[in-house]
Amino acid sequence: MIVSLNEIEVNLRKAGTGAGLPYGLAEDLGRAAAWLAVSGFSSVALCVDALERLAAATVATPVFSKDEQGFWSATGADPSENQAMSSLYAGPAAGDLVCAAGAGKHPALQVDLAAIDNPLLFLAEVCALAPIRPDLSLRFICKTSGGDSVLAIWVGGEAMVAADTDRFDQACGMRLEILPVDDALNTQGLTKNDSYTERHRIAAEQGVEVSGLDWRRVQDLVAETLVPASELSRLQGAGAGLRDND
Amino acid sequence: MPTLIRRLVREDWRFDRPLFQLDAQGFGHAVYRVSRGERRYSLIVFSHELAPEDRTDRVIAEAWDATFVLFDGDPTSGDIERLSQNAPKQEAGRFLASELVLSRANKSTRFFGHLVECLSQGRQPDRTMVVDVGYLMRTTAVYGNGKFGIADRAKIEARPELMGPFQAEMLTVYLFRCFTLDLVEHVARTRAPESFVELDPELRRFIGIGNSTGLGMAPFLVTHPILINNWVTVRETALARVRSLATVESHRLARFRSLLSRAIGHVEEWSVADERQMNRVLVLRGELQRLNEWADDEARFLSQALPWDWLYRQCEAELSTEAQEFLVSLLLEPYGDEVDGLTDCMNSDAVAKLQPAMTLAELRHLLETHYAWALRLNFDAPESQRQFWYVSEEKLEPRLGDRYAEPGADKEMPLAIGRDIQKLQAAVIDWIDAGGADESIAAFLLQVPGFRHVVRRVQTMARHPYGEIRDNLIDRSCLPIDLLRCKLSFFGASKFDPKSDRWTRITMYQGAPLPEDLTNGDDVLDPTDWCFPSLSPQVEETGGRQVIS
Repeated sequence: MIVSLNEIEVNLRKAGTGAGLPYGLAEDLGRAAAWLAVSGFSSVALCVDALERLAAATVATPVFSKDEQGFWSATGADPSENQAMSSLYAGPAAGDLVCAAGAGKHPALQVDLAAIDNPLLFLAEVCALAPIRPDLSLRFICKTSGGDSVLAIWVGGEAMVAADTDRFDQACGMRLEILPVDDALNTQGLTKNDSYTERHRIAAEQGVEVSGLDWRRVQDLVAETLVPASELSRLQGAGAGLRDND
Repeated sequence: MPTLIRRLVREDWRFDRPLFQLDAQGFGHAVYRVSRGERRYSLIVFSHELAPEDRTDRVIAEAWDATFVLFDGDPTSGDIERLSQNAPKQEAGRFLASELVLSRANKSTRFFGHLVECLSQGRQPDRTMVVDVGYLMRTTAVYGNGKFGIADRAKIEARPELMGPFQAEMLTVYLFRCFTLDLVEHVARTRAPESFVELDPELRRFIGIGNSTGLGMAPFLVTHPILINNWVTVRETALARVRSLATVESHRLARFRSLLSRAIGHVEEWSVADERQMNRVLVLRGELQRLNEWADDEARFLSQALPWDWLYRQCEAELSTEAQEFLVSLLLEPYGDEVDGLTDCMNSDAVAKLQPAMTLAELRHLLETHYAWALRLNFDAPESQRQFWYVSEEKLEPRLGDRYAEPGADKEMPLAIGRDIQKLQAAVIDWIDAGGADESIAAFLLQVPGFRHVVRRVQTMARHPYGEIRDNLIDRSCLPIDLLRCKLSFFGASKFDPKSDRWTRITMYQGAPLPEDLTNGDDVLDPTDWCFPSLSPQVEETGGRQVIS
């Protein structure tokens, strides 16, 4: 089915609330979902998967700490559970740290996350939400037992993402770091698509194809925000008791 | 609405009706098209038979007298067929990005029936009834910006002809008004072609479009604070420009007086069943006469250092809020050339953004500077939190419940800004007292992510001083009707007709020029001069409208 970008943003925000996210993080999820859709990823599926993990409590909320060199790291709230951290929490938090660091004269930042549930959603939460300075460059490195690989670079106000994103659809460790622009521009193996503005224009013109099944899963979570109907609530609605055949 | 009408006139838009397939009862479909250069927009209307027991203006309605879509370009027969299956379902239908606006409307059955009867019998309708009702149909929701699959606003926001908030929606309603007038004449003509007469052009122009608005509009005001700020800023800026004028040219003063005369007639014709509002209208009628006396005393008026400012202050000191707001509209009208450009600033595509580098001390300063009103609210009394806003699972109708008597408060919409502000302030003070004054917002939200939305709001609204409704929206005394009226007034709505404390009817485009006035060149009357319409005989022959010299 075809949905609009605004439908994606609004419905994922509501679904976020339905899944138990604080409202501000649900707002961020809505924007991240639209960012993913414009960027050509399976936005709704990625987001609803993450929400269902959150609702089922199979992911952890992150706890951040800073070491003496000023580097940040995060682990799940209960490390003994050995759960990946929810990107719905970790992404906006990491984005905030980037922005706070970027406000300085000589921005420097490194954030290490032990394990996050979905690298692409984490990327979207950082790129879509944080008012990142366009002259700042970021590197997103996925850390797995097979080694480190660059998921994406943020440079010049645009994200360049690894061509084979399918392999980033699993939980993994994540390092986010501010890096010099030259280093960013010289990173190999990344795809530079049309500008985000152009892709956004096309998505607004044509809508976005999503799976009907995934959309129903979103609606199931949205339904968690609704108050069941009753005769009393019907009578409390605007226009109740009025005669409109006049 | 006035912005759209001025644009239609200025840019010489062309109107036609490429399709009008209605049966004798007026059921079927029609297409109304507006063109400017290569750009075309088509209103596709479906007119349905509706049983009286199904006619409700509420969101929970499932059938309407008419359903319609604003289509981007010329629809094919396939588009019309597809939309004939979906538009009647409204929220339950699915649409494409080729559709820009979706809406529906119900008849004012007594007025519609009266007009059909009169015109088919060769006579004009009772003018009192025209004044009392003022429209043939009421819209009950006008959806845009991506709802149910229609186009995102981003698709059209850069188009010059639709630049500005809600212009596509306003165009839709304007074209639909044309349909309602054609519909009633079609039904009357078909009933008795020999005796039928067309509706008198003056009455035709006077008939607008009704609208029923309920609680759903109130959350919009809270969730779009930057847009609301921009609207109010433009209004305040325009008013400040006029009030600061040291000289009032004679033609401006004459224009003001002419408008005031027309407005007096307009308010005389404004009668509503709601006792509270009717009392306000009655007071307003007397107050407009006083305003007239002040403006008529030309020597005194012109002797003031800032004449319009003096008039405004007189009004502020002695007259009701209703009269003060009326005066603001009257003051701006003669200065269209001075203030029209400001409407370009009413738009906003800005989104609230968090500033994670800000310190808690800075945030506390913002709270105390910009949210003192919220910090003064008393939430200790149970009545201060009695109401809660929620969305019912019944067709997603927004509702207002009693927290102490109904279930559902755990699913409350986040509209209690004042309460959120107080909780944030308490947390910020706790952190600062613990030595965290220089901690960043980023660090704060790592610990308490539940405050994310309200921190973002405080940081954003510090730069948008008119964006907040400075009241407690969950207090028992909160009247949602006031919120609805605020937003509707920015559209240019008139004849505010509250039906309860959470539901109102209004009239749109009453007195506005019809397409034939715009394109056939009414060379006597200014088609952009139509506010405060009146059929009152006390208003001069031109209906008080400005004569083009």
